[in-house]
Amino acid sequence: MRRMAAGANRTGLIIVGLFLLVAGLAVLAISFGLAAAVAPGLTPDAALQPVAAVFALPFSAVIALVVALILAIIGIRWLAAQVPRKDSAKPLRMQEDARSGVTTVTANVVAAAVEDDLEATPEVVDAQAILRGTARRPELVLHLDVDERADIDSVIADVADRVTRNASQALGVPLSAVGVEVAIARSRQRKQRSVQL
Amino acid sequence: MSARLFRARPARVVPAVILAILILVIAVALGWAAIAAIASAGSGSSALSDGVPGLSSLGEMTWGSAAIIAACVVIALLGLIFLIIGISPGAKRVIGYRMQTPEHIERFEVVLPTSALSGLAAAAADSVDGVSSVRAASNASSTNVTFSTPVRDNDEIRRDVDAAVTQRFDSIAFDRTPTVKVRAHRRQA
Repeated sequence: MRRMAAGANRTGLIIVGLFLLVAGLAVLAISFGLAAAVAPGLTPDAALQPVAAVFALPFSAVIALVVALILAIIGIRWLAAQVPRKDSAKPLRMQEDARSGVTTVTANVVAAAVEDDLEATPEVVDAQAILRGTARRPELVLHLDVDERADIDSVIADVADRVTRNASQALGVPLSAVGVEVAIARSRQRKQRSVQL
Repeated sequence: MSARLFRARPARVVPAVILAILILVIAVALGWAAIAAIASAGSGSSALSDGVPGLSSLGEMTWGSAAIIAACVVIALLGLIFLIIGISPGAKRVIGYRMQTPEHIERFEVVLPTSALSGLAAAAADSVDGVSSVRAASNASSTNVTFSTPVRDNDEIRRDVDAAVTQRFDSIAFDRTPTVKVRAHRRQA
């Protein structure tokens, strides 16, 4: 339920993939003599001297260093983007009129209360909640680990009718979106929960 | 309408991490070569080939040499693989759940990851008499249950497991109830 950099990953993969594919195919075209019709000098038996000459130009080491730095920054930023983001709401401003004082509630406080409320349902083994959006348009994203023999329909009905209603009443507005991800708790071994006679 | 609350398709984290590390490795190698060239020549105007002796031998190779062709085939294949991974949507990892939206919520979305289907199916199969162990694998539309049993004539157990898992799934209001396939493995007790 945390957010991943899915869009950035796919864009990056497509750009790098296209670049490598086109570069590889272009050199292969030269290697198999297909480029000789377009550029007369580029036959398979021609040497790579023009390419090697680029690396022998003055200042090419400094340029390579700059390119290396740029690539390193891209690589590090891309790696850093892989950390899943919670994207919680900024502290909610709950007051009617800012002249008479400001009342703020942090998203984690509301989320922790919702988690406790969720865990009051007997079948729910563990729960995580994230509050996103604003005080006027709050969004709740919930992850439930329910027992494997639980009645899923009744757990979801309980979330829909009780937990989200409590959250909505606490915030004083209808929830603009609620997402529930139901997973099956598998922490305990089956044998530990069964009684053998 | 904003984006869906849960991403149904994979985010391609592993290929992205591999590619990012590859870019970092190239950056480090290139930076190393550049610093070596600058250090050996002692001036900022030095050429990259001063520090990397292999670069001058590159000029003696021909475009048609086997090493160049092999390297380019690998590069083009890698490019094709990254491109396909980036474009193809990938397998759905969640299954939708049908639910009436209560009046205090504007948009209500309930999903179960495919791993939850496997967990439910395994638990249901495990409750059948005669089953000694269960494995289940799921995608968004079907679940494969494989159980092992010491019983030789296990057709009836297989039918019971199928019934138990199907009944479990039918009791849950999925958007589209996944199909169930059951296989039995006989194992000596």
